[in-house]
Amino acid sequence: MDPELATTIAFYVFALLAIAGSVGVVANKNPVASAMCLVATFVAVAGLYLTLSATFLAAVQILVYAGAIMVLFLFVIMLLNLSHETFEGISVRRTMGGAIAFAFIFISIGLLWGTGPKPGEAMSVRPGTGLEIGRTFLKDYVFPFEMASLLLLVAMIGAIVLARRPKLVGGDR
Amino acid sequence: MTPNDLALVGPILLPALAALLVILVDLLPGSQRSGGSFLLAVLGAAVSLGYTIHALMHDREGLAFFGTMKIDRMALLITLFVHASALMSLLLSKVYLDRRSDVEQPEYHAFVLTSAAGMAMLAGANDLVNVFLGIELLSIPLYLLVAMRKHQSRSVEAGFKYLLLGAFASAFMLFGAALLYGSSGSTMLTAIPTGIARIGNDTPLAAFGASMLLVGLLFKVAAVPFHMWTPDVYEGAPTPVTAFMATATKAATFAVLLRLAPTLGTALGEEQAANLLGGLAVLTMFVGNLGALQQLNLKRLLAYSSISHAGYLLVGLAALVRAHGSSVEAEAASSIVYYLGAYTAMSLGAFAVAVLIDGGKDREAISDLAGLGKRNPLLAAAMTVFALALAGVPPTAGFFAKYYVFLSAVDAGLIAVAVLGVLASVIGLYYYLRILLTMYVDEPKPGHEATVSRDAMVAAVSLTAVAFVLLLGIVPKGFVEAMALAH
Amino acid sequence: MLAETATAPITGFTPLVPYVLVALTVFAVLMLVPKLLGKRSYSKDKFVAYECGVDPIGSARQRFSVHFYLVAVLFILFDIEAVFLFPWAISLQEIGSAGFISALLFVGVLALGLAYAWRRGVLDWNN
Repeated sequence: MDPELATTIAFYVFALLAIAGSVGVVANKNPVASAMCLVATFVAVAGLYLTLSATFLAAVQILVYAGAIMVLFLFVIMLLNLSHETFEGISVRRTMGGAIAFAFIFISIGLLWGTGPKPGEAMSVRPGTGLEIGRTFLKDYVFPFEMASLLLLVAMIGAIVLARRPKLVGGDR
Repeated sequence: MTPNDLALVGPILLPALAALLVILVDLLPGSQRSGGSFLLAVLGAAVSLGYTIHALMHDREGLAFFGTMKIDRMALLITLFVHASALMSLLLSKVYLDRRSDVEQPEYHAFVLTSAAGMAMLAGANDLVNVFLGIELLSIPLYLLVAMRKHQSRSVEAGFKYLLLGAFASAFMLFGAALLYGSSGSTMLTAIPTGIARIGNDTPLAAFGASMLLVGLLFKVAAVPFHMWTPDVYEGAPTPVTAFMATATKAATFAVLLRLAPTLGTALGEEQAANLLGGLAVLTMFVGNLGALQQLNLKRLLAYSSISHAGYLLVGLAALVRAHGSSVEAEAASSIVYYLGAYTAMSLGAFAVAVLIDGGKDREAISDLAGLGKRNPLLAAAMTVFALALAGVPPTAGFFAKYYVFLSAVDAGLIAVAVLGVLASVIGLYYYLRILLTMYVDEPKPGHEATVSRDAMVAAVSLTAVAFVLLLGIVPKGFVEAMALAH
Repeated sequence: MLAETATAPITGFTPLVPYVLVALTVFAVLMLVPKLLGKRSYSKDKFVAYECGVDPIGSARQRFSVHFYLVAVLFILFDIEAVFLFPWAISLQEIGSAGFISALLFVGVLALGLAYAWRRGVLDWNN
């Protein structure tokens, strides 16, 4: 098959899957089902990354988002002991929020329609393979790379400080 | 990576190393919780501050790490404000935390230092990747610091609110950064405007990217319409944390806004970008000053005051964007940097007084200031200086800060914005004077007498702040000339 | 090979298409066949949760301990660390000792996080 056509087809398949998944996330009443729809969206977005030749990003998307982040999502749902969402009716505030969100989407589509490259055109100058990213990380971006470790450390300590049970606050040694 | 690169980013690495050391020492067997970590953290902040001053005096400037970091005079000056604020906040927190037992101190100190490292990184960032990482490195420790009193529902609620909205703002920023990269082909801040100009047909993409990036940054500086979180978060956070985030976050984020100004001008059109920023500035000034009028809580009052100051700073930014390429551009840039220095001094001072009247019992009402004039005349005098400076009364730094910002707006042709700004400051005068009236005229409620603790830390912080507010006000010309090299 | 993937990124993954199709078909057949062939009876008791044949007590939805959440957060953070290390491992030959030292620092900082979690007793489930 013509590679450009294949990419275009793949783009539309994954894009539709992503949209369907995100509609599923907001439309489902069961939070666990919403979370599963989110997995579908994540996988579809990973497919979109593939069409952009960002293979590493696609792998990370599945590993971290569809894997680890989803585990966290499900834990939070169970932590909060959520059951089925109940429909609380339409308030003025919700209508306004929805209207603003829709206006934003339609204005964005209107402004951006037809600009930028077509789905079939490979966008990145260099393919986003692990090798290429490794080179960039540890040469040009070695400084943010190191600072990222500090960020992860702070997040780790912060989670522990906030989530430890109260009885441990005092003598924990 | 060369030794020169490391020397240039020293003001970023030093607080980061100090934070790691604080955590490490706390983990050693036999280390006492508290005590040691405070000394280590203060030492770390002081060394960072000293290194920054040294770099400023010896013109240690230049590009580092393949141009992704740009350590120029502006970056160093803003880093100076950040590290000064971190040091003052640490000193204040000694007083604040020793009266409470519900905060884990080593972690608290490490978070202040990492946040300062993130802010310093932001001040020197010349690449979208570094901008984003700097924003996150400053924000995540701040979310934690706000919620640090985890048995106080007010503190946890504030932390949660800040985290949720902050994450939302970060998402906007990241999306904007991606669109800007897509429409310019570069992540380097200095290369983006030329990149956008070269790929002309993608301007709606660039305009979208620039506006989304702007949304995230305006959230961080608490500008209208992204200011809703400010009063609640400032009120719920431990007071020294509020002092730190009100001053240092503003300074660091405005550093990025200064660097992004050419991009905003190219992506949105200089005229439109200036009008947008000017409009937001007017809204921010009025919302901040009108909101402050009805506050009874001192921290909430200072939060609204902080919003209004973001508005005055945006006036300078609008002038900067509009005057692109002319001599007024440098004038506007230096007026913003001067404003940030003045605001850091006067706001830190006001929060220091708030720490003092709190007395370990979360007394934060303005009425708790009643009778301070009789009981502690020196501190009342210091608070008078801060209130007058925040209101913009001469000869304080606050007056000249506003004067230079409005002057650059007039020079850039934004006369209406400047006039409305002066009008907003007149409204602001009312609530700052109310603080003075409460201190000198009102009788304290029984059992709510202002605490007369002669705490050396608070006294030191207040006196330093007073000295800077007056010094910057009495000889503003020398300082502005020093800042003029900033751009 | 690099140039090829740059022009037609997705074509390298065409073998995945039959794989996905086969997986979907197997899934659909396994779901449909019992539905068509199976005999089904509905009664109220069929919808009751099975708890060793005894009448169920309370709700099946119980609140989790926050400890699970903490472990999940730590898992994600170390997962992200691993993600940072993949490209490093692939490009190690090119970036040389400087890259090695950079990654060592990166891992060292995060090891401090692990030490912190350990010392604070997060890894001890009985705590």
